[in-house]
Amino acid sequence: MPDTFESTYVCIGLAVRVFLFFQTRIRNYFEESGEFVTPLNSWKRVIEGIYLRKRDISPFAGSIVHETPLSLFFYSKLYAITHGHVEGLFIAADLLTGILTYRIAKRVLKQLFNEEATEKSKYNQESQPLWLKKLNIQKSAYAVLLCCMINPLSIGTCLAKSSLVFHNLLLTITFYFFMTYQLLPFIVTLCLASSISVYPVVLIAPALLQFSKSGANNRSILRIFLVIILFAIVSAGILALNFFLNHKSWSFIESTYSFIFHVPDYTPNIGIFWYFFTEMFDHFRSLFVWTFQMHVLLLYLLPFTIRLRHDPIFLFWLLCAIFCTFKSYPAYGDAAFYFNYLPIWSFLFRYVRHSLIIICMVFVALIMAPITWYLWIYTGSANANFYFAMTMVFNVAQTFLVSDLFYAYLKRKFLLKNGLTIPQVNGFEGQLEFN
Amino acid sequence: MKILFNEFIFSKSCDLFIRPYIFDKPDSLTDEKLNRQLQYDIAARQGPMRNLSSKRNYETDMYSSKLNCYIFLVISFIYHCSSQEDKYNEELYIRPLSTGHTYFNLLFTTVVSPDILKSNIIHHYHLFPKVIADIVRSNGVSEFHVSLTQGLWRYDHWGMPIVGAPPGAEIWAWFKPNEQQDVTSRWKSFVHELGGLLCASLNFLDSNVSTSSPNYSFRPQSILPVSSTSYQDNSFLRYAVLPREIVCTENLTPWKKLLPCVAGGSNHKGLAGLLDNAPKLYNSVYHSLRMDLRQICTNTECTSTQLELSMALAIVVDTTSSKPDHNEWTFRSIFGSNVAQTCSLSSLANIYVDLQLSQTHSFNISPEPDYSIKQGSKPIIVYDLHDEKRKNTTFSLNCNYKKQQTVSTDNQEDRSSPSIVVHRYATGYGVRDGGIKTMIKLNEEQKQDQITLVYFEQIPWYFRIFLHTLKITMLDNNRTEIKPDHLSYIPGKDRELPYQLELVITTKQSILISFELEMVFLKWNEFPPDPNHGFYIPSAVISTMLSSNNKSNNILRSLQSYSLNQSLSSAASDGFVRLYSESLLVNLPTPDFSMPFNVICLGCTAVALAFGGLHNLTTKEFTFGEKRPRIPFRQRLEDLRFRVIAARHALAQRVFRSNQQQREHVE
Repeated sequence: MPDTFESTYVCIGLAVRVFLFFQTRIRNYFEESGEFVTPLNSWKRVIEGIYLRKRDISPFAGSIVHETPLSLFFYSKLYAITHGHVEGLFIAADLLTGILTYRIAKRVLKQLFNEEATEKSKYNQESQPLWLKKLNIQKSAYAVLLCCMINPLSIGTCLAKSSLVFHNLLLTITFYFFMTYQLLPFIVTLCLASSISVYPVVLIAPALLQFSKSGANNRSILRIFLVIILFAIVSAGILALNFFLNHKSWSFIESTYSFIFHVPDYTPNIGIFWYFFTEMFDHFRSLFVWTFQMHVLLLYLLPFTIRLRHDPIFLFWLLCAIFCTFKSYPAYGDAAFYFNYLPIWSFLFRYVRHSLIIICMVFVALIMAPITWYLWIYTGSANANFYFAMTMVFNVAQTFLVSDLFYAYLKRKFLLKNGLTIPQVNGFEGQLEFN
Repeated sequence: MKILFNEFIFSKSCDLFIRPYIFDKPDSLTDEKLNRQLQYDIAARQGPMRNLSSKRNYETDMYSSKLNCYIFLVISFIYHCSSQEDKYNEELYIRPLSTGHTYFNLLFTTVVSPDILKSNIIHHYHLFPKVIADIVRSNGVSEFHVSLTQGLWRYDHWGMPIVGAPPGAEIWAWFKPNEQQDVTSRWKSFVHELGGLLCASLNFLDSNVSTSSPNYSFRPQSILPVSSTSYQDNSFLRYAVLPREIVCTENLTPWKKLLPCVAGGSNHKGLAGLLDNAPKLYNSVYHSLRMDLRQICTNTECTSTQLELSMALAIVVDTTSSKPDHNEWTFRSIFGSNVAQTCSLSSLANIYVDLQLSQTHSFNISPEPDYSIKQGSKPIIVYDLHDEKRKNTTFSLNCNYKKQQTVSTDNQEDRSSPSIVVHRYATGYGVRDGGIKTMIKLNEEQKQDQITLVYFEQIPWYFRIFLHTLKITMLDNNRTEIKPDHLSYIPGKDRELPYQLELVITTKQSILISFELEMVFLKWNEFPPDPNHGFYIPSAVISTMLSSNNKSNNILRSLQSYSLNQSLSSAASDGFVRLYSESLLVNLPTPDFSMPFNVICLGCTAVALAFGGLHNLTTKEFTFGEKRPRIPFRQRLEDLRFRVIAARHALAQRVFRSNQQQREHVE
């Protein structure tokens, strides 16, 4: 039974979305905005794909459609059921994402609280002010729900009818199953999510940590293999399903996975790929494509997993944040996905070093990006560099946010064990060092 | 018998062409040597027959009869390789237009036996340009059409042209099936060779990026025997356009050289003499060079075929004079020269003046025409340059006409509007999204019966078409949407394939075809020089058959023969027209071209920031350490100053010491 706060927040979210969907001008703005809509998730392209399928032309013959056959099939069914009026579905999916995020937040906080309770004996009693409190847990969870409902980035993504809404729902469900320790549903949703946008593949690392726990502290190799094999089997199954849905042709690989990996489309978005590869010299192109993709997919995977081997939940969120920032075609919807979880980590905020800088950078980027876009595309009085500067600012802000939260997480862990007062070292006054 | 036969040939047609080869040989050669030399020479020189007619007055008597006999044998052999029915027609069609312009269409048609395309024989190309035959034979082309055009034909003011062409270069070709090489590679080498021949940038067309194979629009125009006219798959067709191509004298010169009666220098014979002064021809509002090769039937039963090469130059010149409503021109004012001599290779040399305007204008043309024919209600006067009375005289045409004030014009103007007019517009603002609207207007006469339009659009890949936004609406009051009878669409692929859209629409009303497109963001090195000039969207092509009762106001080239003489005389013209819309110039969003290094640096910095920070966090540990005393800022500054002073001192000492050493060394 939802309590008053929950229902109020959901109602607010619903009202805002429904109201804005009736404002055609605002809606059109979001539908055409490059920050919210990328070639990968534009609804206009999905409709084109559905239309081409209906005309018996392969949607993957051209370079307009970049959805997988499975998701295209799913959207065409949605489109047929609603007779083209899909707005309601988008609102429903967005609200569902919000509610699930709230549930996840509650579970995450409860689990962290329980873990702390069992480990309290190891903690320094001095660090009591840092301990999680029941009251704060509920407040943080409410904040997560409210954030989901009124986050302008989420609302914009919903209004733009970006298929990212459904993708985010899928990722959220994955996170939910991750929290509830349901292996099979988790693997299925994870495989679905990664079959659409590739990058969620990295979430297999926190899954291995989460699902391989057999006792208090030891992991079983058998379970690790089970997870990997399951993942491989389900992925292969989804690939085969795509293959059969595409009339037994592999043509979709080029317009989906190769499109994501090789970044042939330079439509501006909020990432760094587009302008970087617009200006790239041809003979260095493949080097930098591989470098940038490895940076997202592999570079952080092992160090993070080793460092956060006892905290798979934080690792899950951190990896999401990394690939949402550095993926090849990011949109505000990707950023919104991990921004919405931020209130969970409110107990870390006191150790964030550059909070003012980060907030300012995010706001500057949010406000200036549409302005520089307008100046470049419509009035012609500015050029691409201005817009690129804004996407860079947003990127760097996200980088700072992620690294600061990581830092705060580590610092809090250290202080929980060692207390808040700094002891004397070698008879002299001591200080906290990070080296 | 043999001698008789040889003599017969000699007297009939060979004297013109073969004798100059004979006289090129020095007298000292023996018969046998000469014979071999001759064979070689003929095989090598059978290109365009230049310098021939000027030499035909040489004497033959100086050669012995025996030599002659050998030569005749060779001649007869060569003559049998070529066809007896080779024909060359020269025509000039002139139409004064209501806007004060005048349309001149020079047409040179060569009809030869298709045997010259057969390989493994020593060919005598006769009137046919050897280079064209080589290109066509080696690439297995069954027909091709190429046009190089500068300017836009204005259908609503000028009516129909003899044959339309889009701005820039257009080329389409059908290839023979069952050849060893595939069509794509043959097309590639074909456009390269033709581009080299015409000095045009057709080599940019070789890849798939700007080439398509329309289903309905560009059917073969060859007329083949009934037995072999099976439906040809469009995989043997290639169509390409270069809307940005600029046409100039460098294209005209090589084109001109393919004509039989064009000599070196400027003593061309026949109507080709009008091409002498190339800069004059480019002082026009519309200029279109074209070349068409196809097969036609020899006779009405179509038992055998012939090869027809038609070369046309169309220009539209502003001929208004200083007096109001008064036009005046002569051959000399338009072409810079008159027709000095007739080309004796041509079997037909006609000049037609289409007097469509005679109802509203009073004409004064000299000299007097030979005869006139009626096309619909409009008279066309004809001059036959081969007429006995014009032998050895210079032919010049003077024409001046002025508008009659008395005739009420509104009725007339309505009638003179052509059956179909097409206009195209780019919509939208900004350089991100846009659309194309094509308006196809039918005149009142045409609206009485249904018409089937084939609409073809080839759009480069850097404009992404959204097919679901395609809308065809009637331009009546209701704006009802109609569905096309057939739709063929091949989606474009980035950097590989253009978008190809073809619609077959049956309508009685004027229609509006619209769709949306999105501009692609290109890489910095994919832009041509002057990127802010914009990118061209090639013309839309509308092909249709006008109903037979409705071509009173224009000459339609009949598909039976490209030669105008037959189109004008045959009543049963098929009414096939192909219209080209405007090509569009659209801007694409441009990056900053001066930024590659900066952007690479900045992008890498952003990644390095992330990597550095996060890598630090994963490798370092928190510890408690000894607190270092804090040094006040002033103290630090002081330290720095001392350090600088010390460094300077040390440096000065070192310099001093080295100087001293040097001095000691010198001493």
